[in-house]
Amino acid sequence: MLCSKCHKNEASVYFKQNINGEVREYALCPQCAAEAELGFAPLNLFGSMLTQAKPKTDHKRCTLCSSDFSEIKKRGKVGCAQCYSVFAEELKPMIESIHRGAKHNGRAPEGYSEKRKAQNELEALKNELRAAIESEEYERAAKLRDLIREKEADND
Amino acid sequence: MIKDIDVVLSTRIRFARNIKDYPFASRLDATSCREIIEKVEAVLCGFEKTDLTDTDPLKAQCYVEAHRISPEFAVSSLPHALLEKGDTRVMVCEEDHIRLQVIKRGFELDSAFAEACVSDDALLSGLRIAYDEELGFLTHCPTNLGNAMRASVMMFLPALAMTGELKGIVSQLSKLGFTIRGIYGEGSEAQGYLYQISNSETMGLTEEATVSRLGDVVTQIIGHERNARERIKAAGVKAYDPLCRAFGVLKYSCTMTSKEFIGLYAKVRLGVAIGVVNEIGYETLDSLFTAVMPCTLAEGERLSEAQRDKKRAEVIKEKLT
Repeated sequence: MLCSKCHKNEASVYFKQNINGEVREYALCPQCAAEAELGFAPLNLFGSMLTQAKPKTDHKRCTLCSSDFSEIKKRGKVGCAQCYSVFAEELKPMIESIHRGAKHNGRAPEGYSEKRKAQNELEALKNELRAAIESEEYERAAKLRDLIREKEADND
Repeated sequence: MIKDIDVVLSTRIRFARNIKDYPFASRLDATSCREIIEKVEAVLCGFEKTDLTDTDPLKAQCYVEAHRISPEFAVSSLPHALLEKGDTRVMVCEEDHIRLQVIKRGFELDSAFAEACVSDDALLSGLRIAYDEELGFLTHCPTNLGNAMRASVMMFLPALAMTGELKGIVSQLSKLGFTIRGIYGEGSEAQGYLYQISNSETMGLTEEATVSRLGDVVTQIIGHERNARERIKAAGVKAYDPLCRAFGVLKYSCTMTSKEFIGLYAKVRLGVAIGVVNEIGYETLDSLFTAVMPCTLAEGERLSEAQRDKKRAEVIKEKLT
């Protein structure tokens, strides 16, 4: 359905207004909805999640996009990739809450993927070592221990 | 033969990526946008570019109706471009610098994922992509952090909706980390019994695990929908007569609103699925869906609502005759 105001864009905001029994229905596109001042502000849940967080230094700004934390709170979105490290401490509670404290596990750009692969291999060897000790296979455990040391030295 | 086309209209895999050293969309200027477009174009071989920067809004809306771009992308005021190759489409300078998506007809999660990975590999090796070991791919909106992948399946679930079983499925889906929504993206009401099911979690699970879990869930829903359809058919002529009548109205009307069309489309599609409407196939029926959308229908002309409704009926009649 096209926007009932500008008749150009696809309507995506539908609402019914009931004032003393007089019901009117509207179908507006996002721009016209924003201009129409419908009496409700757009919901900014992430911004509201950040209102508890206080920046450590009041005037800290990201050097790449020049965002400060109050702007990030207002938008509910960061200004650039670097903001995630500049405001790491302030953003941490919100990110942990959205993603339930999980860490990334999946695809990665070249270079990182090699490092991740090496880390996964190391983790698997450590698990194997634990299992070998538990089942009292000490000779195998000693070999695994040496292999782990070797891999750790390589990764560093 | 398109896989599970009676229940699944299309499958989509989308990756969000950003280039290091450039601000995100809300703080980007026109020069940076052009640079980003050039960089992405340089690493993706054989893609056809459509610069949408100064495109007429009506034309851009046609792209939205054909699901080639997102509604947000259509109204962007900064330079933005679409790169296309086969089923792969890359929106450059959307909410994230790069939104790579593969859309396939039917239930094709694995092949869509594999195809998306091919283009993504080119981006990951050719560009300085914003990434963090713990947070994963860095995106404009923190909800997409992690693998920044959205895997979604557009399902046609009339029987489950009519029998009321869908309600129970919806509540289970959210507990399993999936979202279900109506056709034109977030917040819109379900129309024509079309529902998009996608992963809501992007952190912690690998892309393969996400795709496989979604695949399992969708396979189960397909089975339930088919069972419910059998029950409708078994209920006899009174239950399926409205589906056959809908075909008659769809074919012979002289004027039709888009709301009426969607309702009839859904009934006829169900009729085809349970074998009581045999004069039409999914291909023709689904192609109608885009053909009668307001902007596609108008072909760049400014039509009044009455003119549009008349033209819609004409287009339908032509396609069904």
